[in-house]
Amino acid sequence: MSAEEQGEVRFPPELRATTRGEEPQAESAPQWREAAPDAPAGVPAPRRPTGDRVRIGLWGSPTSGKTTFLAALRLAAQEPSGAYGRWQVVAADDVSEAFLIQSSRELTIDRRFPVATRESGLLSWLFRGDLTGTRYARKRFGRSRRANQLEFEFSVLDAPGGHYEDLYQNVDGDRATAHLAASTGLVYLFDPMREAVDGDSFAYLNGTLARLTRRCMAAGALDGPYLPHHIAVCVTKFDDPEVFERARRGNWTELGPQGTPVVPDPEGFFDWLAQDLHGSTMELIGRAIRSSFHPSRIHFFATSAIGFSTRPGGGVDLGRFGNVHQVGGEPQILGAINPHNVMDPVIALLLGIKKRW
Amino acid sequence: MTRPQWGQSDRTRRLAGEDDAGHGSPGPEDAPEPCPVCRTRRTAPRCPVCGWDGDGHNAAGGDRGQEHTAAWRWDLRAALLATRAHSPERGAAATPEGTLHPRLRTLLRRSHSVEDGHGDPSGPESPAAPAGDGGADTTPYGDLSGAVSLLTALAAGEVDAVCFFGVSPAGLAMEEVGRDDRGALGPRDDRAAFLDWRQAVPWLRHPAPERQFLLAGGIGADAPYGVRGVPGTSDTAWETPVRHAVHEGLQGLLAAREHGRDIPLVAVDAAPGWRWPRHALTLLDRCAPPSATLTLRPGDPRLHDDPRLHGDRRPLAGVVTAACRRVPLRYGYALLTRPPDQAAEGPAARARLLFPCGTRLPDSGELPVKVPLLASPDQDATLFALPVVVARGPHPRRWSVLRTAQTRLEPGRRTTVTVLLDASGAVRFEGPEPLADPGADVAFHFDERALLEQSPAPIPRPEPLSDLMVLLELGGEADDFARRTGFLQAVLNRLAAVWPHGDALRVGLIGYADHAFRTVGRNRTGEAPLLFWGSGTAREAAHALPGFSHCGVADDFGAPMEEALQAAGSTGYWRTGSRRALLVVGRRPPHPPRQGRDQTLPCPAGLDWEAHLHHLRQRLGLRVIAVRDPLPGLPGRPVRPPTGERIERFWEELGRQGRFTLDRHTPDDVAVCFTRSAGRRSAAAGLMTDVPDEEPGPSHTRYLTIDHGLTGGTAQPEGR
Ligand SMILES: Nc1nc2c(ncn2[C@@H]2O[C@H](COP(=O)(O)OP(=O)(O)OP(=O)(O)O)[C@@H](O)[C@H]2O)c(=O)[nH]1
Ligand SMILES: [Mg+2]
Repeated sequence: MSAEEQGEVRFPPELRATTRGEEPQAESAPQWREAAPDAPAGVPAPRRPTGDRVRIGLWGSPTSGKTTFLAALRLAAQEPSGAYGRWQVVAADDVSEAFLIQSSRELTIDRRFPVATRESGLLSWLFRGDLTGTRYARKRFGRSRRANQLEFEFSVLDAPGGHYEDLYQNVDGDRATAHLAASTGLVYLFDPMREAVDGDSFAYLNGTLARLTRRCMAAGALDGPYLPHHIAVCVTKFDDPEVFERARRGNWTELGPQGTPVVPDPEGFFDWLAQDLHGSTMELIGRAIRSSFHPSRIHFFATSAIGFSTRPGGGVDLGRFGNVHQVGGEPQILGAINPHNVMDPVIALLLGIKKRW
Repeated sequence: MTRPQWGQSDRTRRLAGEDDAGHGSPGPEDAPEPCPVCRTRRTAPRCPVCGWDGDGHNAAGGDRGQEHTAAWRWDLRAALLATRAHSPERGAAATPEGTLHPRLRTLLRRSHSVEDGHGDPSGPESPAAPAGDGGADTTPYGDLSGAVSLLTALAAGEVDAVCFFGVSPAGLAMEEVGRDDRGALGPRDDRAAFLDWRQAVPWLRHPAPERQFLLAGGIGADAPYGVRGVPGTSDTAWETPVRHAVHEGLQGLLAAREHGRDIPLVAVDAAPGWRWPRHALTLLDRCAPPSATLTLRPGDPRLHDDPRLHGDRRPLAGVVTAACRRVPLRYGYALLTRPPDQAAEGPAARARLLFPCGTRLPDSGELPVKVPLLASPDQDATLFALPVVVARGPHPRRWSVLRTAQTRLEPGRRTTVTVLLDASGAVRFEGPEPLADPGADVAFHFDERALLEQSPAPIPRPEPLSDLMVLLELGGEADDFARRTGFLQAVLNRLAAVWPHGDALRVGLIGYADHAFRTVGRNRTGEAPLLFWGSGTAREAAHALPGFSHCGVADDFGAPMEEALQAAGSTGYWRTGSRRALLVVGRRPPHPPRQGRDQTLPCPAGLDWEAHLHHLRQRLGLRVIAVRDPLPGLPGRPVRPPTGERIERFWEELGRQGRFTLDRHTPDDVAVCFTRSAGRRSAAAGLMTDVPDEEPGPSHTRYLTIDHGLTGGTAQPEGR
């Protein structure tokens, strides 16, 4: 089966099939109620993915850290050590550009987290990069330099997390799922600590997966029993003392090359955490994901958008790793942000998708 | 043969003794044949147990029919006893018919016709038949008087202890009653023991109804009666194990008596008429004659509902406790009050007798005494203590506090407090004012000794030096901070009133502002978040307080208290030989030394508050008084469990020697706590002033003077 061919034809008809009055179409500029007012006329519309362009969608339950993840993405892409090669991030419209500027400022200068998203907005950036010289580069002899040049469209509908839950009452929720269905890669953010308290992530996930499967089924895009997407499952807020202490207790961490703790086996960690948060629905989440996506298309990560706080000379002091403190009921960022495993899921998705083309 | 062992409540079980012989019944040689009716080994033709006259006409005639009838009636009697006793095992089936052996069932079914036809089947020497069996039953069931008179002697100190030895359908039990230093009696848990019949008589493995039938004297031999598995046809199977059991049980008592302790014995017969329990009592008579006997019906509720069952079986504990409560109070109970006309040389406290010696505890309900009291106007505190003491003599040294309550009253107010004595001898207060039990709050330990030992005329002594260091949290909103400083100011003013001048009390202040948390890592920035003042008198400190101002918060769940604790320990502030106290007024706990599972950032300098607190307490001998400004409900998400646990654990640890909460306690409470630790009593919770009845006629108010209340036994408190 050629995923490429299907990727070309799969989504537009499917979107049309469910067209309601104001349903967006992949070709036309998505005129979201919320995003539109600020956008001046004549803004170039995000183009539908063509050729090398891959569309990646982001998704997660409320407060799982979606907006923070997006805000940290550009900072992560520009990582000075060049672990991910060189990247250029180009905003596709004014709204996306404003978000980029505003959120970077919040995270690095104001040291605040972005406020909870109240209205859906479609954000879209073009990431152009060169992986040459990184561990992600393809070192096959005879390949042209271009082989390591990647371009992807990171197009995200930053919707309030609640939208993924009440799909039926909420038109925006339906759009959010439509957007996910039109992507090739998905980043799923999962906050284990919210899970430990509320235990409701499964409800969000399950509803979205069911809707997604139905859409893909209608479009004939299902790959056997599986959805056609690649998915990066990210356990977020890895820097949070409660998450990190658990990981350490279960012996899942190692000190990475930069002196920051890393999880060598994130999939094992995910399953172990599901056991450790006994009584939560995390185990069900793992099962739902594994039954919906092809095993070779699932990637696990332990991510932290803001990362650990580092010593002045670099590296993390395990006695004082926290980078967040609470002031007046609001979490605040302590020092410089060091995004951890934020680019990695995206690149893993890209490479996974590329391999099949 | 494995010997039965008495179950002891304490962990040390006495080992079985070796000697069995010597106290036994006559040897078996002179009994050629057992009695055909009850199978007792006979020494004479006439059976001593069932009264069967083997040489009488009936037997001589070889009339098997007659013999059969007599045996049948004997068993019938045992069956009646066994089935009328409540099943002693909890949870055992209460429907006797259902679990009965066929032979017992037959016996019972025909019991009516037998009773009608032949009357009392018991022989002349047999014990009283169960009540309702016909025949006169004069046994005074449940009469505690013998036991109570022995216990009264114990309360008076005439004997050292009283031992209860009881037999019941369930087993053999021992209880020992002792006396505490207040003259109160009670069974001693470490001396109680119990031996189940099944352990005492190893072959007795039958279900409960059959076992009781056999215990009551049923024969249960081979056919035609045929209760299974009973060895032999004579008493040998019973006598040896019963003798062992009794000797085992008495060993401890006999040993104590040999050591010169005077311990009378009360025999408790909770299985009257039962053959083998009675045999045990007969043996008891022989080796340790009881001074009193108490007969109980096997179904006596006190035998079975033992409130103190901690897994051990204590069938006698209920009866023994009931007997102890019948003993009149050995010492009077009195309320400590201030004398109305406090002359300079008079005693500081006086005992107003509530329940004089000799008072009988009520059988049920409570015995009330009303005491009119006055909150002395010359006392500026609003907290008053109501200590009830057991007066073992006229001198305050011989008083010990039984219970204390506290009440808050405006000075000058009158009130009437009711003191109630309940059936267990405990005392309770009731009043129109809310009364608090100081035991509920660590901070409120009423300093009884201080009151009792107040010398009648205070001799001027050189004042002890006291040092107080106050740690004040500066971080927070202006309102919160004003609340804390206002409270602290009031405390300091109170102290200034107690120590008006001189340097007997020295106060120092340390305010701690929040960490800057600019740089992360161990290299400290120069800014120490501490603000020092001092030292000076309490009044000067109160005036210096407005110099402290609030500052911003860097972390909702941590303040640099650890820095302040370190500073308090390292300054050369403390004077040698002074009484030292640290008063902490704060809202947030200190930062932990390392980041753990909770959200709070660690101390930038890595200081460990626990180590510093330990240093202050152990090395410098400080008493730490914690005043907690309760955390207002923060907006946003709730406090996470690890953080909440850390906060609670911190305040518990800090407040071990005194813990107050800003909106639940008053500055008075804190000041009292400090002055007491500093050895000043003038500010301790005051006593109420006694207001003698103003009605004409004989006064109901009596005071404990040299001889009253110790010997008086007739006076009863006024009724309600
Ligand atoms: N410790 C830590 N906390 C994070 C991180 N990312 C997000 N958070 C916390 O999670 C909260 C929510 O983050 P958002 O990015 O607003 O989450 P969201 O998924 O966009 O939330 P909604 O828009 O309400 O659906 C933030 O306020 C932070 O307190 C992280 O990397 N580390
Ligand atoms: Mg958001």
